[in-house]
Amino acid sequence: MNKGYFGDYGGLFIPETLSHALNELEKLYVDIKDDKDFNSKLTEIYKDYVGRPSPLYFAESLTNQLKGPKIWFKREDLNHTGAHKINNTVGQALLAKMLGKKRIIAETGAGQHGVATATICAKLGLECIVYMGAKDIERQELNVFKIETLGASIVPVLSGTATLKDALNEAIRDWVTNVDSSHYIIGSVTGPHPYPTIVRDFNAISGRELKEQSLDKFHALPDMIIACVGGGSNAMGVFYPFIEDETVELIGVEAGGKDSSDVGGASITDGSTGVLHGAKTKILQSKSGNILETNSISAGLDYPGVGPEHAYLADLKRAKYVKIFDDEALEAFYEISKIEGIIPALETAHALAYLKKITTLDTNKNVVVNMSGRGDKDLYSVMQNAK
Amino acid sequence: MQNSNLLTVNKNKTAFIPYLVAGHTSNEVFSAALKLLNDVGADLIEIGIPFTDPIAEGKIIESAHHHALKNNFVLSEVCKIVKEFRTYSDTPVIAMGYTNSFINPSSEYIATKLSESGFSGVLIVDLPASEKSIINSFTEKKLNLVQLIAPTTQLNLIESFLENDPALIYYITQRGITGSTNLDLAEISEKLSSIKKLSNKPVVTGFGIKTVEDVKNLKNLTDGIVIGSPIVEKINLDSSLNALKEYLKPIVKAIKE
Repeated sequence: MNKGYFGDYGGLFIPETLSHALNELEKLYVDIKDDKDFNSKLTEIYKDYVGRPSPLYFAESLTNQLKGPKIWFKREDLNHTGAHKINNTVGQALLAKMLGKKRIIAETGAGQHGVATATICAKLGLECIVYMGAKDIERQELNVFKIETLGASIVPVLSGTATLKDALNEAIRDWVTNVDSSHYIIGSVTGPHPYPTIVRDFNAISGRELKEQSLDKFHALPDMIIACVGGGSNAMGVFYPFIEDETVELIGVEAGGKDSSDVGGASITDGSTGVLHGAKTKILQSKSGNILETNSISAGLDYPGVGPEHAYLADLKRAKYVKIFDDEALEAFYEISKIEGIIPALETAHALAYLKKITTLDTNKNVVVNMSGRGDKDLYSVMQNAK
Repeated sequence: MQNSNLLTVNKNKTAFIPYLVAGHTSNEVFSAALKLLNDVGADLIEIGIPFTDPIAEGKIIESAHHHALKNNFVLSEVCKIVKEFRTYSDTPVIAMGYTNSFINPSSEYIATKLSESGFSGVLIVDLPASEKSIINSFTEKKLNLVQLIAPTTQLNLIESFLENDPALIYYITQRGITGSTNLDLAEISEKLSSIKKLSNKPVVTGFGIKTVEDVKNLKNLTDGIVIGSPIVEKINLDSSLNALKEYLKPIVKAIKE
């Protein structure tokens, strides 16, 4: 089998200029991933800077209201910067330092990955350039200001769809040009090998913690884990430590867009096999292989591809992928805010909306929703939407 | 003298390899530009297959890709134009683009279509040499391969690239995207002579070559010169192709003299 494959998916579909940098990254990662010093440094940052472990919270009111299984939230929204994204960026920023690279490139959709990257770059004294679609800049104004406050520069991307997909294109173009001095911190389990593996491993901290916490709190593994899937990094991180535990049902929730006639962003549910941004995976494309313009109320799920390992888990039927429409996610956004006092990110609201579809599960079952991020960043666009 | 299935080159002759985007700015203009490039002395012509996400392209070529797609580009139209061009000239043409345009609905289907229409080869920018099953679909249809080598390529890997028996090596002159401007002649010269020592394939160079001066600086180092962004820009500027004609006159003269 070729390098970097998960079943039929993955690989290294990149311009030749980048292949050396990716090989170097892979070599370094293989060397240090089990290295004691590296891991103790990472653990310290996770603990004192990110605020890990993130709690496992029993959503009692919601459980009582839905009258179905017990519902728990894995609180990645309480991480520093407000989402799971920082789990990956701190790990990769440490890798960049070891590679001797002082300039960091990132792309961002909802802005959370941009904020998480700018944050760790500020702490470690690295230059940081964030590519962001012009359309996303408009709907994520607060994160744009945050990124700039943290000392990073934002480059607006106007080409194509002016969203995450095109921000990724521009980030790759920057990397091709500045490959000797720069490290590209990709924000999801997407992209060429070894990124899907590296990003998964750094996010898997949430899954490992969840395993311990669930044994501690309800003396069993969860019966079901639900996570939203755009590129799929929060989902892959929380799923990964449970893949061998076959009693644990894994549910990835994709964005359906406005309604069933909309393109949406559900690459596994609605897509087909193709190559995008360095990996062979499930993508939303036309018959001739051109990438479709996706649509979702949530900028973080507005992406026409998905991590190759998710495509693999879907083929194996080890994880199940479903889609939730904009209005269902919005409804969950308001409901969870009111009943639990937790305002979820619109991405996370997709996972939460799925809870309504499983109320027939036995009341002694334990269902965990990965609370991938908090909703502060979305308040402005939800407010505009309400007007 | 070296013969490859795509190019015949020798010490006294540098090949001129223009690039244009299929369907840009219309099928009529594209077809006329193809003939013009042939008539001014192209030795091999690269036809870009439009893709929504051409990550190695600069602004000029990217917007030509998007423009062609907006005009409802379909591969069969380009195939028809190339088939007609085959009755007009023997100059070989290759399809250049991105993997996803070459595997949908399947690589076998695209290979058959390109081969039947008279394409002589493919250059797939983001397809690594290790993806043998995709690559084989094209070689089985007698389509020649072009292997890209970048300034960052570790030259000890060349041997593994040559396993696929490419007809040409295309050396990317710089770290960057198409249309950039920072040619480092010392590095280019050193890399090209190293590549020449490791392979007997013709080695052509491209990315960022625009002016007569660029051409004069490079022509003795390389077997062929690829020019893309300035050609696409001129086609964009003037669909009567006069601007392109004017631009090419001194360029081709400099390459050929």
